[in-house]
Amino acid sequence: MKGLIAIVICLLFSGCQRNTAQWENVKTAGRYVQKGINSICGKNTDSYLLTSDDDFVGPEQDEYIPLQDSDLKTQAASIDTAIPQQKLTPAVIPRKANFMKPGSKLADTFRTIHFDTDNHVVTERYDLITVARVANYLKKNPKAFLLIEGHCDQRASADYNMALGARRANHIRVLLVKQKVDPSRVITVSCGKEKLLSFGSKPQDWSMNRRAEFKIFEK
Amino acid sequence: MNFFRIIFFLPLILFSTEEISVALKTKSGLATIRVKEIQNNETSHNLRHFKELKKVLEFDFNHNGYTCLSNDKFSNYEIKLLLEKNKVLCTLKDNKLNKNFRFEPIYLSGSVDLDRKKIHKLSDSILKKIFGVKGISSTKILYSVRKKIPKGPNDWSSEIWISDYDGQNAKQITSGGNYNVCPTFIPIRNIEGYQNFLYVSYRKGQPKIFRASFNSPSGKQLFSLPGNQLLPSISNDSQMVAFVCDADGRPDLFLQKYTPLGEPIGKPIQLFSSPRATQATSSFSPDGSKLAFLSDKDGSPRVYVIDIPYQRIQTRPKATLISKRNRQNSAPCWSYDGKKIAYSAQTNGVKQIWVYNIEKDEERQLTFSAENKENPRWAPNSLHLVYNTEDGIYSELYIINLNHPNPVQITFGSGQKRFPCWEPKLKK
Repeated sequence: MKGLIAIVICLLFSGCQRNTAQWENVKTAGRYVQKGINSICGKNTDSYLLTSDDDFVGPEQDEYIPLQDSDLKTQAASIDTAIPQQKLTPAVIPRKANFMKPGSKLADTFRTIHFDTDNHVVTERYDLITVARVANYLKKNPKAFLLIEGHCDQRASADYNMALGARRANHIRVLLVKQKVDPSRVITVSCGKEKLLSFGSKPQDWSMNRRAEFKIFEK
Repeated sequence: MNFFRIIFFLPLILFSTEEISVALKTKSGLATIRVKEIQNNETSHNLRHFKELKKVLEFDFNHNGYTCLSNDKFSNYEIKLLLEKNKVLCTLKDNKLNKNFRFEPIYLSGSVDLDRKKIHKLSDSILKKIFGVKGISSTKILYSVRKKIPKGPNDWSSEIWISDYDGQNAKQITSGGNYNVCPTFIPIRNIEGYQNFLYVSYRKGQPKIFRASFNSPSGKQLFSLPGNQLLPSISNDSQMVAFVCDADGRPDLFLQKYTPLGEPIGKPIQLFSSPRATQATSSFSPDGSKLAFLSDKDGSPRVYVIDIPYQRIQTRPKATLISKRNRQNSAPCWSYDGKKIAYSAQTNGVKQIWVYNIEKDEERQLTFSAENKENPRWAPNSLHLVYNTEDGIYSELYIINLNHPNPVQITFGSGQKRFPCWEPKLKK
């Protein structure tokens, strides 16, 4: 008798689960039907009700109106985390010309970092060690500012490389900020393929050009 | 069938009193044109100047996309140039219709640059008379010239230059040894022509977009956004500027709208971003409803098209892939007739210029030579393109037209000429 009751209860639960799943599907389908009707009526984007001027032009302190896609939100664990640039006044931050290549004593700390083709992620262990050393230096020297130049090799086009150089420099910046470096002390500059180190056409020439270089300034 | 044709036409051929001439089409389908010069006992100085100007006219007729030069007396058209003191008289003969047309005389100033301008105007008038189309001979091209600075092994400068469409009459616009790239005409024209342009300058350290004029080339920074600002493009009505900026920590596509008076409407909006993608060059459709841009969101950089939102957006617009045939695409540019998008694509190891036909959904390879080619930009007639070659050390500008895809080098001499931008089409 007890066994029969257990079977009936199990059947009831599994029935409920099926019903819930069905209800979910109907709900989802209904939502898409509604979206379809909206798009026929001309609402082809995810619109929402404006409640203030800020809703239209964005909050006053923002320099731009950002997208709200969930995959663009900062995720600390992701290698593709983005950390917004900070608006810096010339009084706070020195001009690029004032940034110098680190002297010979610091050469081992500020080693050039290299990248794979079409990639902006640091993968090599010794490059990650360099990033950690740079982060330590900045934490120990609170008056130091860092400039990261992102460079590319000569194979891709000049326009794409300009954007990719920015991507590479920003990735190093993210790695530094994750190690508790103040983001306002790290400036990124994309050099694209405008400053090649090697003009050859061998893989080692290209590899030499795909790099991030560091320059520092101390107040 | 041919037998009946011969029987039908035989009496005409046998009893015809006049010589029958048949203008044969050239292989390329271009109309043939013959330029004849006549001098009236002119001084050698005038004659030399006249012959230089004749060469200018010949270049125009060889590269306008509709005609090619011929020495054949059976050419489709014949132009007679008559030099009288400081005046050039021009007559066009349509050999098919056996009609003559006269054009306004050209008064020579003695200055090659000024007189070249008058000859370009004449060649555009002749083209208009024959084909009813607006020529490109009087248009200008903006570009950057990159040179090594002697002071350091790895220091370069890049300045903005402007020249006639044939590369002649080149003048440096910016100066100061800065690094300026990506010049783009602002499509607002006054009596002196297009006077304003956007460009990217590294003079503040990070690359920023500046709005400048030929009278005041240093210009003003256009956006206060933090970070790197790169690769600006402007809509044909000048009321939208798209650009790449890493203000959000990634190189994303941004859009700023303007009023007809040039006042910004609100703030720039982040138009397209993707967690693992790099966005680059963009180009507006002529009606300003769509934007073609480069993104590597699906792997290799390719050309995508999005609808430009008319209201604030919260999520990225749906991007449609355009360049399906090749990988490693770059620098899309939408033609003024709205029917084509030109771009550069890696083809058998070499970056070549391709044209995507929007109506037919077809991609066509336009160039085939061994040099890498980048940055194609349309002429206002949507028939010609200018692009630069790029091999790290040498970069020169070339023009090409769809009717006769035979590239012509228009720049020579020191410096790498890059990022060309052809004068825009005048709004009706």
